[in-house]
Amino acid sequence: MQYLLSILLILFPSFAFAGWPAKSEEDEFFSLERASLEDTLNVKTSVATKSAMNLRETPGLVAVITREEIQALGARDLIDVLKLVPEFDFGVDVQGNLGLAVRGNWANEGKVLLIWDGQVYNEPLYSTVQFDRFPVDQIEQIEIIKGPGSVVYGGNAELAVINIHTLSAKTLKGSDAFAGYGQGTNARAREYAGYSFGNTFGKTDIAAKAFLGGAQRSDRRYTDFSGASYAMNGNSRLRPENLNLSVARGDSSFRLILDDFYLTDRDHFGSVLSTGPSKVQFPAVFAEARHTIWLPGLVRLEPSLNYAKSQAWLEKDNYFGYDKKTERVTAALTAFYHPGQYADFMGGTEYYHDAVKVDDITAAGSQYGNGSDSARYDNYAFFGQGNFPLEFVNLTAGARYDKHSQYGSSLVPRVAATRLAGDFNLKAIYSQAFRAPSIENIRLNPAIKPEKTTSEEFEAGYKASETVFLSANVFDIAIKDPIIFNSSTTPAGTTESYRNYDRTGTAGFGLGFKFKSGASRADLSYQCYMAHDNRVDVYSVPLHASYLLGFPRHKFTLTASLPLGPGLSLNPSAIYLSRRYGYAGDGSLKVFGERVMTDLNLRMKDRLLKGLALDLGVKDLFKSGYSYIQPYDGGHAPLPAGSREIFIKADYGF
Amino acid sequence: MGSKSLACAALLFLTGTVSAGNTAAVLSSGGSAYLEAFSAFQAAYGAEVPYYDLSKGKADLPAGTRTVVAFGGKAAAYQYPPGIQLVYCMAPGAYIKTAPQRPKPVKISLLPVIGTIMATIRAIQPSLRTLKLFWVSPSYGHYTEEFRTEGARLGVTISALRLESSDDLPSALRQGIGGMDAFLVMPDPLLITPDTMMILREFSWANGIPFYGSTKGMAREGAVASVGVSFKDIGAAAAAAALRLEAGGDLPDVIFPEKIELTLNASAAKKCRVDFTSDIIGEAAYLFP
Repeated sequence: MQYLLSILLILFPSFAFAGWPAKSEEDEFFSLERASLEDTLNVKTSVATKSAMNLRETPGLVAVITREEIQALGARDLIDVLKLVPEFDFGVDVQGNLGLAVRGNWANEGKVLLIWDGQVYNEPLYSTVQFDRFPVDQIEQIEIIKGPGSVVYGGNAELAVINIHTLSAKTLKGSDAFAGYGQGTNARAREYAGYSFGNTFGKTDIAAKAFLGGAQRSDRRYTDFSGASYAMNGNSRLRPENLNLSVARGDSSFRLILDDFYLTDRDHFGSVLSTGPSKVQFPAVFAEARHTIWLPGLVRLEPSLNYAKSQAWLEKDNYFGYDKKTERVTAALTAFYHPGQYADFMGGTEYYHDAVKVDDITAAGSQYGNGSDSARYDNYAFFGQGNFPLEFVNLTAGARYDKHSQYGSSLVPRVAATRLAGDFNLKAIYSQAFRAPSIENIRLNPAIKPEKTTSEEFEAGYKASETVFLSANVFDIAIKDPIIFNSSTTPAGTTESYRNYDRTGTAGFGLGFKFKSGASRADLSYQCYMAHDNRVDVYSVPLHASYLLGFPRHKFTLTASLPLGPGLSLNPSAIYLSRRYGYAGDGSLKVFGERVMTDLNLRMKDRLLKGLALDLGVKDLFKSGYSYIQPYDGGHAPLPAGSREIFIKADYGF
Repeated sequence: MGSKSLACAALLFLTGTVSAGNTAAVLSSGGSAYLEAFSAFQAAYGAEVPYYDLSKGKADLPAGTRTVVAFGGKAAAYQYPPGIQLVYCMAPGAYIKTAPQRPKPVKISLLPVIGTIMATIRAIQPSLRTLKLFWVSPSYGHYTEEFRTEGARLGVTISALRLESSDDLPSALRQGIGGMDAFLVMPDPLLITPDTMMILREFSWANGIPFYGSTKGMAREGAVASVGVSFKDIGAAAAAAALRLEAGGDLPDVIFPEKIELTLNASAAKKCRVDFTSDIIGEAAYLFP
């Protein structure tokens, strides 16, 4: 804490000595009327509290990425967007999958919650997210909490929350069709298409979105630690399919999502598969009903019922047999009460029931307790939060209590103070969060307990002019009892398990510069972490205690949009990563040097035809040779990312 | 920096150091709302006008200044030398009085002609019978009689309620349920904040009672419609007033600009079961989906 305060005072000496500038009622009144940068800074988000709040006042370090920004990037998939978040990095896990890291902490299993149109996309077996499956061209807005969110969202929101909204019926007001094609240095990189329809019929909003994707992870060559290699061209397919249907009438809404995603790979658990690729599939179905009830006295109730069915990590080949069907039913009731300017409250309860059934092809060792082919778990939770706009500070306090039928209870609080005064804003947040053990965590260790994170974050922002906004943040994350996979090999065989380690975590800071004037904009961000009291040996970098495996300590990101003429813009983006460390297979560490990845996208909209947008982009313009590193000592060599890619896309709204 | 900002900066550079004529402009600050109105004022006024930003220092008016056009409440309330004719705008809630022997200040209202406001609201909601007005700043009390007169002409009863503070808003809204078909909120800085906007929106949407605002921002934040005046038109009206006074003409205490800026919010209309006619949509300067 002292360390954080020291950094804060170094970054913002004026805060220690200078008073806040006064802002008159008239200034505030007219600020409601302004546009451009002010619009960007005043974006309303409900991701941190479930009630709409101004971005600079919401009690969390929150980023909102709009459709306009995503489209300007010429993003091919969700990874293209998330890699530009300075706090995020990607690493390779197993079986061709990528996982996310947050502020240097490997967060692949259960530490980051991803919500897509209200549906939790963390599969329930290991709580991972498959980031290659999402149709990025159907996204309306992405809200990201770059810190804990368990008080509102529960046990998968330990380090971050990614909440994604797709195009609504009102936004679409007709049809939108798109198709993209990418050509890598050595082979075709991707081809995909999608169609969205939405409109209002009488008092009913109807939207339907379909997507068929096809890409490959890379056209480069993977080499395992023994020196065996394979060409990823044709052996690293990524194949998402998605149908998303929604109906809303009055205060009720219904949604059905049919989703399938499979990938192929020959690197599997590290060693090259000699006889061809394996196929790993993640089919899922989501159904949801929601309703809003308005009660007298400014009370709003939101009951919801969700059903999710999935077969994550489904594999039926001669390399591995794994077929587990999971179902989750979630019932929730959230209440909102806004009695006046002096306070507003949110509270509710949530119950979910998990069921898993093992198919015959799954290895006998993958059964549940006492050789059973199924297991069931229940979890109920209560949560509440109050927001109190006091004279000098906006105070938010809340807590969530979860009780799981297997591993017991978790209680996490959050207290946040935010202050928006004139052109300055300041946030100070203390929060705890937890990671709920997943179904497979419990199977491999019935005594596993939730890991718990304590986080302190500070953020300050200053609107330097009508076009320039500066920000800085410092953070300290301590993860106690982290749940980590380990295996041990003895003459009797290999034993796999999950266990709670002692602790890990990071501390660091970030800086941001945002410019917006009319159609011109630029965002430059810097993020730095250092390992803080890490006692997890499989994450550590020997002799470099400030590093964690797989992820750079320093990261710069730049995105910009430069109008070239009516409907024509040039959109560069770049990422600088400092050196990273990964294992080299013989117990030795390898240093991976700095990398700069540069993308360029030329976008033309409404020029040839009203509603038609054309993108021509180059991805990894300078051939960085970037690879995803496994951020633990798991025997997987670095997985090459795609080569330089020429990318074209057409999007037509009609 | 955008072309508008550049133009304003160039304008301020040119006008800020040159003293010409008998008119000066004083701005509360360099905020973009004031600059937008001032820019339009300068364009409509013609001759270059010296400019002062009170957030950077006091206004040392050139000798011979007879008219000051003030942008913002702080500039309007500034202590000017005796004999100065004050025209003030962008000062919602402010009402400046001077000693009888001094020139009478003229205010450019942020509200358009009240008859036009009432006619527009009635056109949006033909079933309107009772309209409640809310405000906090005492100066808006001057307008209630005219609202009543114009309302009566259209068969609409006006129920006017001045709140002691914005804290009274939730209870005032709750007490109003059943006694109003819609409510209108004045452009009052003592009432309009992000928090009260949320309360107004939630009350309106939850109870299906249309909320009418008086600025574009209010419609963006959840009012069914806002009937106001653009900052450009306010600047132009200030220029016309200054020229008229300098020509020896006489003006009322408050000038309500003729031209309205109508902004509509389709989501709010749906929540309140208001159907916009094609004529109304055609009149709107802005439509939020």
